[in-house]
Amino acid sequence: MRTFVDLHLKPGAPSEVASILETAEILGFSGVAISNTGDSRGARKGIDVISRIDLKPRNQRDLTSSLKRVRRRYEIVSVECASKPIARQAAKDHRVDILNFSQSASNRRKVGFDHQEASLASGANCAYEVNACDILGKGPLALSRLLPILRREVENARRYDVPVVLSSGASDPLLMRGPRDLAALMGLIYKEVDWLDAVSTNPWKIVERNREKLSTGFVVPGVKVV
Amino acid sequence: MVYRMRRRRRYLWIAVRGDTSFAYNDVAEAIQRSLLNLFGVEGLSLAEPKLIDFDEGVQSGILRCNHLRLENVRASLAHVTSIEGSTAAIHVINVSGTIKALKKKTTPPNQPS
Repeated sequence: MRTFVDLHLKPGAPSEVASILETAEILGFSGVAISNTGDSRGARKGIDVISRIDLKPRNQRDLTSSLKRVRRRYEIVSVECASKPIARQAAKDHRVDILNFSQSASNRRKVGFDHQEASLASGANCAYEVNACDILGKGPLALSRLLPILRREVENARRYDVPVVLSSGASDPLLMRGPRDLAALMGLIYKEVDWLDAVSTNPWKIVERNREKLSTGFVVPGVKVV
Repeated sequence: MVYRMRRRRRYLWIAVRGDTSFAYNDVAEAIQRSLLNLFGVEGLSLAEPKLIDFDEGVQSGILRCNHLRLENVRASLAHVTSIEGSTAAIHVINVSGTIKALKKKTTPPNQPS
């Protein structure tokens, strides 16, 4: 049986965390990652809470210094790629788990998940994230501009075997959706992708890999002090 | 003798969440409008959505649709972010092929009377 995880929840205030966790449980998620929370590992309210940080670096140097500082403290490290140099640096850095891009279609046309980015991400084992909140509630015209861009990005990810992670990106419980509803909504972008894997298998693989790395006694993959 | 194939349907248990309570007509219209926006007139007519029961007290109900268009209906429900100008979300709690099985699957607190 599949277990689902929403890797991107960003509550506006700490008081909203409880209601977000409650909604996630009702919607059938077994795990959630809450952005920019401290070390919140372990089960709470029957849900596995995963710690995540969204880095918004100003330049490449800022990115590498931030990664050095936070990598051992968070289970998921995501980078919001605001410019091409940052995107390239993030895609080739093994410490980055997830690449995130701008919500707006015009910015995404300039800095998006193109061929070169996908090729670098494939080598560094980075995942490409699609946030459902980017398309939720958008009108037909706005969707018609954004969907082709997302479609191209997903095609690039598939071509280079980059794992695709589907998250809600919700800042409010009313923006959260069930895993099967998210997968159905993403059918608008690309029908050939198994979107249920993107909300279950792919994110869990990242979490398990990083938990192993963060565990005591880990040396390198396959070597552990017992 | 003419044999007609029986139309297969899917029944979805939906829960509406929002800042205020919504009436049957508002919810039904929001669902239809979302289907129309995403899939056009053809998509709406093929999906045949019908809100057959909606309890305004607990804000949940049963939506019927064509079984071949279930994914489109799910996508349209997920795409709803406001109803009658108020922020709202429509969550699918359960899906089944018959109303009887749907009611059996769904736990009592979420059931409309």
